[in-house]
Amino acid sequence: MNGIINIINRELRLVRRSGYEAFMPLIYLVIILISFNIAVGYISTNIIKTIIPLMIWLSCLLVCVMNIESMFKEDYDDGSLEMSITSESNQLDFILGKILAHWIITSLPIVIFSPGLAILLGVSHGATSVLLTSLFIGTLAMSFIGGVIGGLTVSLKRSKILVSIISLPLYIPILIFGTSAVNNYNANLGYDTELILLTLILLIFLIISPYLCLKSLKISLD
Amino acid sequence: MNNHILNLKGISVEKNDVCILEDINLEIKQGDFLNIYGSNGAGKTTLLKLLSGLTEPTAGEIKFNNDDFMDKVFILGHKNGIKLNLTVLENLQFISNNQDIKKIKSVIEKYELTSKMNTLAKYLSHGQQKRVALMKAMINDYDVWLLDEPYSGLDQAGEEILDNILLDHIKNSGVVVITNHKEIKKEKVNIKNYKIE
Repeated sequence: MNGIINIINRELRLVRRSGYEAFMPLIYLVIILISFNIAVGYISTNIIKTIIPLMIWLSCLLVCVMNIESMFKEDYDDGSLEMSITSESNQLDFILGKILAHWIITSLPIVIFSPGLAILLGVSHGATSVLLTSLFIGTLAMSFIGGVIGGLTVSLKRSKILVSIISLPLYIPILIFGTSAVNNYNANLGYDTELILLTLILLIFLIISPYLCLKSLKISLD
Repeated sequence: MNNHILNLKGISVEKNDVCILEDINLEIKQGDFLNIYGSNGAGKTTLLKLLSGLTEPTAGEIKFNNDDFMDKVFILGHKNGIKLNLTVLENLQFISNNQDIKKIKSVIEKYELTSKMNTLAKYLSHGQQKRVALMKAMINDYDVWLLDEPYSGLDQAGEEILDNILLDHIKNSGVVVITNHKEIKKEKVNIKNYKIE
């Protein structure tokens, strides 16, 4: 556990020193939402209020896909990935720390700010709380899935297209359950099943991702 | 007493149907300083990766005499593996799970970088960055150091400092395996040279 916290602290310190890059996920979110609002300005306000949570979900997915590539890239480029993967006792701590740090840096700001944005754009408090819960679970699951894909593609020079092709089919179920939960709330239907399914996906990948990620990193470093 | 920590018997490595290493037989003992040398593309780096467990052999047997061997291996490739936006002290603290700060500072002192302790690694010279990388191995008490061309890019003073660091490790029953383009002979230590072609 100490090792995981250590890696997270290191990554947060590196992000603090990297300047504006830390704000990129939020900037993407704001750009997507503003563009969307301008594009669908002619549609009635009620419909927009229903669509806003879905747009926030979609922006999260896009931001997650865009950031997968960076998860292990810096460590690969500076040579520290080899060192971390060689020592057997630290391998899983390193991977878990990296995935959680990646989630904290790229997804957590969106999870925290999106309810505020949703309320500002007129979404009800109830729908916002469902959105917040589904985003929290869903983005965490996406980061764990992204860890495996990031590990597989870390040694490739231009991996963005490949990352998108591999990740999107895996992210689609999360997007479906996340958006369904909010839609069901808006339609006065139960949304527990969707949240339970999201949690199940998270738990499955929480268990298998570190091992798959380790294997994929070793393949990349071979 | 058998102090072999690692035996390689008839090791071959193939990648994409290309033979990179063929019939490598090697014994590594505690206190060994092994120089693996050969021309470009001879498979020196692959052999280091094999020793570190990052690459699997396609034929042959690797016998570890100690189950904990893989926990004691430190590999340093062509890149230094340090974070340029962290200070020397931070680089060492984060790799060592915030071990005893006194130990970290004493290692920094030993490696003659006390004055640079709070300097960002990106402002250090190539040789100084290499020393920081080796400090990681020392702080975490790694026994086996696998260093890929550690002398490249170092001036004479840098080479001497590196020599002293490596000799110090050997004296403490550590193992150093380096790669190089040529055979090495040093007065202070008996280096085993192993040529691969």
